[in-house]
Amino acid sequence: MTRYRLFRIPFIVATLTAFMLILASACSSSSDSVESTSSSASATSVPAASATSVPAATATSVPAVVKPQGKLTVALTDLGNETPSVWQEYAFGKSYMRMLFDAFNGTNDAGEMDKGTGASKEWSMSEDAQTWSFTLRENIKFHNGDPLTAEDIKFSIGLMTSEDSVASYKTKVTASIQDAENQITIVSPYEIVIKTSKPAAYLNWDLSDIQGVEGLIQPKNYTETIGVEEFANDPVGSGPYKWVDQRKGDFMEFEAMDQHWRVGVPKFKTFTFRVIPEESTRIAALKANEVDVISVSRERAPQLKKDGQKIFSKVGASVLGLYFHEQYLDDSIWKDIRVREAFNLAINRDELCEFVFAGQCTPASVYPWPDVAPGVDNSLKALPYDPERAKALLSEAGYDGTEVAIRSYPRADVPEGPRFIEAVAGYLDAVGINTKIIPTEYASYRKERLAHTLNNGSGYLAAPNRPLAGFQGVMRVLNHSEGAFTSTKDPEIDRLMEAWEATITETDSLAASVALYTYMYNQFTHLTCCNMSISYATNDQVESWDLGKRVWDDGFTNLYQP
Amino acid sequence: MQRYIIRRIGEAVLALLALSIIIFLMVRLTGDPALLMLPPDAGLEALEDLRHSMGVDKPLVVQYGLFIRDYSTGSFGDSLRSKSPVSELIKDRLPNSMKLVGVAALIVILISIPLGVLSAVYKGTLIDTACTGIAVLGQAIPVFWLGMLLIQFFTVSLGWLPSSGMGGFTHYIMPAFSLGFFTVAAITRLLRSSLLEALDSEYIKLARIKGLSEFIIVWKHALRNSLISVVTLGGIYIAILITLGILVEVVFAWPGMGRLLYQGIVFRDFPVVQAVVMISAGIVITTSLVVDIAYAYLDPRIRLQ
Repeated sequence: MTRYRLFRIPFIVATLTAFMLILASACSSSSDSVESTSSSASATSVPAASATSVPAATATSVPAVVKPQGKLTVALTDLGNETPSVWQEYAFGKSYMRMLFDAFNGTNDAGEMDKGTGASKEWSMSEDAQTWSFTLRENIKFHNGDPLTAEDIKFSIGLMTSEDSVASYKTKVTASIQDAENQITIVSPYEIVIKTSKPAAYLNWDLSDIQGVEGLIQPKNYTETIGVEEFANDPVGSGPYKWVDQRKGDFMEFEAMDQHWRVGVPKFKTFTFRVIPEESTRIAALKANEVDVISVSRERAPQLKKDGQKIFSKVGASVLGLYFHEQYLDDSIWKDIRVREAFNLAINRDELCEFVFAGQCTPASVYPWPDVAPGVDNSLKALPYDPERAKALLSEAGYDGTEVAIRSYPRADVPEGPRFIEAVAGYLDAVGINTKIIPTEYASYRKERLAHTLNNGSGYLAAPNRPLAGFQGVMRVLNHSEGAFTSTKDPEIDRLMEAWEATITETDSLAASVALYTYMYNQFTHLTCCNMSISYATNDQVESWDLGKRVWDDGFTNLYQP
Repeated sequence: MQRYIIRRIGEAVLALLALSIIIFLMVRLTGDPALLMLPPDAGLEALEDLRHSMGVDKPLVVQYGLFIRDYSTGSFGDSLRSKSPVSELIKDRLPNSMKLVGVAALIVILISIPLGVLSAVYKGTLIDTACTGIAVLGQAIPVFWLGMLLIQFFTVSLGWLPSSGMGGFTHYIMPAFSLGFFTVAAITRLLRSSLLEALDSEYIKLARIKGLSEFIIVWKHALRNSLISVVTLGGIYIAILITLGILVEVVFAWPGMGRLLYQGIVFRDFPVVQAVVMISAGIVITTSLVVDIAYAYLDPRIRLQ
């Protein structure tokens, strides 16, 4: 055996050396912008806020020009299609799209229309809600220097409503604009009139950045010059950041404009989005200061906070509830309001929030409205936990032990779903309700909902917060007798909904929403559970952050707002 | 020989066809993608529109016919999610995966061959036990778990390596090692057994009698013969690396084919799933075909049979 020792050490040394050399040569050619991304910690160590807040006069006698500084890197699970064009991107990509593009009609963090934040500075609607007039501000320029005009608005709406467009809320717009070419009239470079094919009291909402990317504007001339398909490879917008580079599935990099009409001087010179699907990897990247902001699950947020990271949450991003399916059928146990109330009194919402959702949510009042939504009555509180009263109500109603089959399935927005269903079933069993959990997947459950074959069956969903117009639309689908997913078929709900749909002004709309909200609260139409939150963890680079109330966009604007 | 090659090519085409039917049916067994892609509150009309625009409302036979037509023209259809050509998506991602697999394969070669040789040469010693232990570990540790451990140690604790993403030299180390470690184990074990067999053979004894150095005996004579089985298995393992790449690419946020497949499965993007699986299968079948034909050239018994 000793004869082998002679070559053992040289052999090991030679092998290791060769290994390192080959690895180095294989990879050295690949250095690119991610290298700079991964060194964000050093680059971002200069707080941009301080740079922008230092009074220019203290530095020199000549007023210094404040410029964006440093960099911020945000890691998310998904960035939609990663195709920066208004007709090729889903709502999931809105976070980065709003950096690159301005919206036709602006909104604010409270989720309201705002004439100060979009391309149109004025809008008005005719009495029949079929003619909308918009006046554009004249100081907006695209990154290539072209002015943003009515031509660009018309062109962008045309792209977004085209057959190939994947825009998530396109159908809301195409319900009233089927032919952009003929329904949109350019009165002057900065005036535009849209005639809708049916009353569209919320057209300004539908052509804003409140929900998806439907209201974002891309330049006509540039797009036609470079080509509609090619545009996404080298996009030009009018937003506070311009396009730098991208590797699909990996990163997107943006560079701040020195001055933007809406934002002013963006805080960070470089803003990078990275796609990191695995949460443990995102957390590691944050702890190693490779990234500054990560999306984080409700389950991991408390531990990260203990570890010293900052946690910012959007409370009421959605509301979690269970459906009482086909409650209008004669043999449904939920036809009796006392049974519906008993279900609502049987669950302990505080415990659910604490132990299933790691304290990252609050008890909610009426599904599908989160308590922070527009058009709710905040005096109506979440129902208390009262199992004794629940038992009494079930007894009064003559509940005969009919089996309630609850579908259980995971969903990306509620990874705790199966655990949540087990907890709810436990509470219901405790008051004598005969439950059965049926593990399935969401698509199968949805198919059953559409077929209305879920008598005495239930399943959960988290309904996102949305603008008032969005609620009006969703209520028709979910609760009107003619709605595809209706679980109620209640003539009073139909009447309240139709009254709401007939409103033209926002004040009337809010009042009509509150009326329906109150009715559904008193009718216990759903097993409403919790206001869910979306959370982000950050390092010290982020001092404060309002995540706003927009759907599909958690206020990334506020990260770079000076 | 010519007949043999034609027969093997025919078998490969048949295998691909059979696979295409299996993949086509299996992805559709998972359900209707339109049900997942629409917002929960979208109505029946929107659902029907989407199903129509995606072509999933057509009879299965028609859908399969379109699928074969697309593939025969070198197109993989359009992604249901992004509506862009799947070939474009693959063009973006395939080179990234091949780079990772390439580096992983290098790691496999550079680690498994020395380990296999050491293990065989020092059979029954502590070195052999250590090498075999590493091999067992490689096969026992789940790839994704190994990846997470590496990230925790080298990124969070030591701060030496980047956690994820694609970039320079350092970005390759952890994902390539995670990807290659499973294969290191398999190759090490195989090489050890075949080298032990070779070292025990008559021609090696003759070499020793002739007074050749052990270094020459092991590295020149014994190893060369032992590598035949390793090379055969290596082709298959290259394909396994591509498959294992799904987990590694997700853990390390590597923008490759594995991530594309993962996203395709999550969103039930049939054309993407089909294309990625077919390409992976194509690589396996082609590798196997090439190895078989090479064998036939090297070994007359095969082509004569």
